[in-house]
Amino acid sequence: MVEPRLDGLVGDGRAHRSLYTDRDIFELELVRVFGGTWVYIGHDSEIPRPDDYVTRTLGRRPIILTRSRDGTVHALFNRCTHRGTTLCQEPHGNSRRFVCTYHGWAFTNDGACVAVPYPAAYGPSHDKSTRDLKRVPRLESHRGFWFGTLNPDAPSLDEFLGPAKYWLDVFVDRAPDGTITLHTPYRMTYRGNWKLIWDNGSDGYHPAFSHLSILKMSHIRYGGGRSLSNFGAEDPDEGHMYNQTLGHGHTMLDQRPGMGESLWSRARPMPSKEPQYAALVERYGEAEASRLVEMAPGPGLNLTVFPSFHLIGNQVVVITPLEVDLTAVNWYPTTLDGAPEVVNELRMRIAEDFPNFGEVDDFENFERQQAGLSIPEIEWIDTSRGLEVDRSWTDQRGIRTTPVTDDAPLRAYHEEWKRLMTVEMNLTAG
Amino acid sequence: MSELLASDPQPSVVDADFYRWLRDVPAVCAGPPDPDLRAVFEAFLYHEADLLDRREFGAWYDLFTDDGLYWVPIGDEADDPARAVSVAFDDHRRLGDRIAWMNTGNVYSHQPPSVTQRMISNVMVWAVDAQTALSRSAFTLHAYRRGVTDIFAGRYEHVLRMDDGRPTMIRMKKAVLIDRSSPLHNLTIIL
Repeated sequence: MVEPRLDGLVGDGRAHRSLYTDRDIFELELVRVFGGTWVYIGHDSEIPRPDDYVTRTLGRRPIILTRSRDGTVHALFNRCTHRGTTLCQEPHGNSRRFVCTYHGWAFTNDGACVAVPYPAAYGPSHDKSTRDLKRVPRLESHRGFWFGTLNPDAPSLDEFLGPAKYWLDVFVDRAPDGTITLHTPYRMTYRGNWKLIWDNGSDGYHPAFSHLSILKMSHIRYGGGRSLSNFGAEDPDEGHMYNQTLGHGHTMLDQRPGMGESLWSRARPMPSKEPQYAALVERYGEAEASRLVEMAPGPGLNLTVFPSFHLIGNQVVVITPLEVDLTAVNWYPTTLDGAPEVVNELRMRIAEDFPNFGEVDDFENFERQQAGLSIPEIEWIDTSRGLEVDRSWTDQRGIRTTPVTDDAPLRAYHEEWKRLMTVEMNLTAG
Repeated sequence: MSELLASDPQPSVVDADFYRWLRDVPAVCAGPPDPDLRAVFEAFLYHEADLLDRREFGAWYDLFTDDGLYWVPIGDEADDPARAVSVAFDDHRRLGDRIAWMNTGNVYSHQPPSVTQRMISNVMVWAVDAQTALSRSAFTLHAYRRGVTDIFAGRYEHVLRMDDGRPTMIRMKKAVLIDRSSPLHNLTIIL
């Protein structure tokens, strides 16, 4: 691989187009960003029972996230230690062993090599235990979310998440049992670079324009103003929403100050709304029903954990770079463990709203960006909003709060991107 | 149609019984299909596909009963829609939202619009009673836009209301994509 030029690509209120278009940079990102920092792999609820597994990727590295008999979770490289064949082809399943289809080497789901056919020819020094599957050497979880990294020098997951932990907790603590369950995601692609959705993650500048279709539709169907009412003002910076940079490239956009008392009453009408609410009232009474139904929408925040994890609405969103100009975005619906069935059903119907009527317009704009960025002679994009008119403040924890349309979140993740792309790194497969 | 889409749409009728009804739909399809109903069903399905290819979304919307459902599931066949998201799980109100949304002129993925051609074959029909019949059919949908042709393929399942031996309204249209477990591009197209 050609070593791409990386110095001077981001900073001073601009970013170079090659971040989005250069194939060598992209391949390096898959190694260094999606390997050298903590990357979300999967959730406890996807492998609830012993011997459950899901297959995932870390950059281009195929991995299997397993739960072995004793309940321990492992992130194994999906690669036979003999000749490199991938061992598991299914997206998910339940299996104690993974047996290579090529020469029959077999491994238990904790990675141990347990069978090498006709071993005599390997001679007396042959020791199966030296052929165990390689694994993502560092694997840690917070509230059921498993993250892994190949970087021995990365900080602990706890330190990496930092203030983002609080917002993950806000999301999960809405469940009566204190845990959530992820379900089959709505999987979408756009023909653009993965960082285009990242630029968008805490961008409070775009909604009035990129989401005009959903605003107009809401106005036509349900009345009210055409502005995004939860901004509470014509100029979104005059409203009460804000965003924060949380370190390590993470950001948080807080919509709650603009949403009033009831998240439920702010949700656009969804299928089953009235009958299922009536069912809750019948079962629990009016007061309790109106309390329970507040669990159906999301908590009113967009959290981004660099480089691949978002909380948006009541969903977990995972971003997977496929090619320099192709990105998969999985929207995992979540149910709250211990919540009434009806509430969790309403969460499904709410989760179908934004990907259908909102995200698709962003995706189209990302594709238009990708096309525009192909021009070699026009090298820079503008990331300067809020640099000269600095209305930010930083609290004692070092968290920087900015008006909702500020580019500060974008600049913050670009700095983390630059750091990961240039810092000395010794990635290892354990 | 236009006044239906204007404002204050009717409340949803999707309740626990509705979900129960949906779960029971496939069981009715046991046994060989009824050859006598095939021609009238083909005519209806071709008409429906033609409306969509001609972007007559309002006229297509008018084919749905007030308790109708347009459904594009994701994931395993056995998934309970009450515990799973779909690409679309549009009751009459949300389907109206979808049409109103497409009519705003601000759906950027329809600028320019995709040119589509649907093809339907393998039509099988089962009569449930005098007022209701089910069909399964195979579809391919080519959607050309901005130099790229996307291909969607799969199976339709229709529950149609019958009047005088002919299908007249859609109680349910389910489009089951063969590649629904992989990431899909530009699903703003109605299947």
